[in-house]
Amino acid sequence: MQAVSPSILVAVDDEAGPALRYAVDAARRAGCAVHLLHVVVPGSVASATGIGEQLLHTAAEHAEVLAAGLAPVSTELAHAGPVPDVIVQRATRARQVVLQRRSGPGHELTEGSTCAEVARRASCPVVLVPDPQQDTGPATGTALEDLAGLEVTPVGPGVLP
Amino acid sequence: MSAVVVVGVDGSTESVRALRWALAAAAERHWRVEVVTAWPHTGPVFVREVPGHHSDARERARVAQADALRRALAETPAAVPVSMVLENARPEDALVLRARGKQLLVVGTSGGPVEEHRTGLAGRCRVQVDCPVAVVPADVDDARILEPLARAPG
Repeated sequence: MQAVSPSILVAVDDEAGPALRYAVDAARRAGCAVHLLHVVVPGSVASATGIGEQLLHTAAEHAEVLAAGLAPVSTELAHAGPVPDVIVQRATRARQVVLQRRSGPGHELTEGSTCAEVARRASCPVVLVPDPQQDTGPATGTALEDLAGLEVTPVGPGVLP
Repeated sequence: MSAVVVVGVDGSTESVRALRWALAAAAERHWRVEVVTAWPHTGPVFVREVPGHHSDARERARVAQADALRRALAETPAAVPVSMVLENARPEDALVLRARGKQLLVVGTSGGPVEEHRTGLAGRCRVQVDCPVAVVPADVDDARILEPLARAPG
């Protein structure tokens, strides 16, 4: 399958499970490629490159299964930094950037800086995917008016205190 | 019941662009769009409501919301069901609440200082919302918005 539009870029760090699934699903819907990026910042320990290659290999295998042949999968190990700069630069060629949102001890600072930086500076939409993801039913509303040919439904009153 | 894309709209150019992207994303997935406008707001359109008295702030919010939808639809004619929500609350509180259990939250951004991004609307939504959050830049080109509509049926 030939990529006909800019790819969806997903940053892969330790285990970008939900983000990878979101990115592959979006790529399948869009009919475009999904590009897996792992960044090794200069000055990292010597084993970082090998670890990064293995991460990308595992993630690409997972992505190929999820894509089921409907979205080409490519990988890139970038030796550059800082991480947000690399992602923002690659975003100039991407249709959308997908990042894994981390939470919990040890993740808040790095997640905050990377996600905030990329969301602030990227030239394309940036989707931040939490882990785990809830999946419950949507709220309901009642039809009131039709605007520009669409079903437009005011929902209310507000449920905030 | 179809899945829902929640989008924060305050009438600004950035929010209209976010709404356009949300409409296109929903069309691509056959989802619904829920347009959330919160007031009072720090933007120029809205003023603080006087408790116990009728205020036209809500009406102005409603008009701004409807105008934003019209502007978005004029440029992004997506055939998706749209719900309109007005909340008398801080925008981030309203969006966090409305996005609960939904499939995607979309907010616009105009760039700005990084600290503002961490503590402002997008930052708070990014941290507190339990569904994926899409941050749409104001200068995203039309091709990235309109491309899904070229494939969406209807």
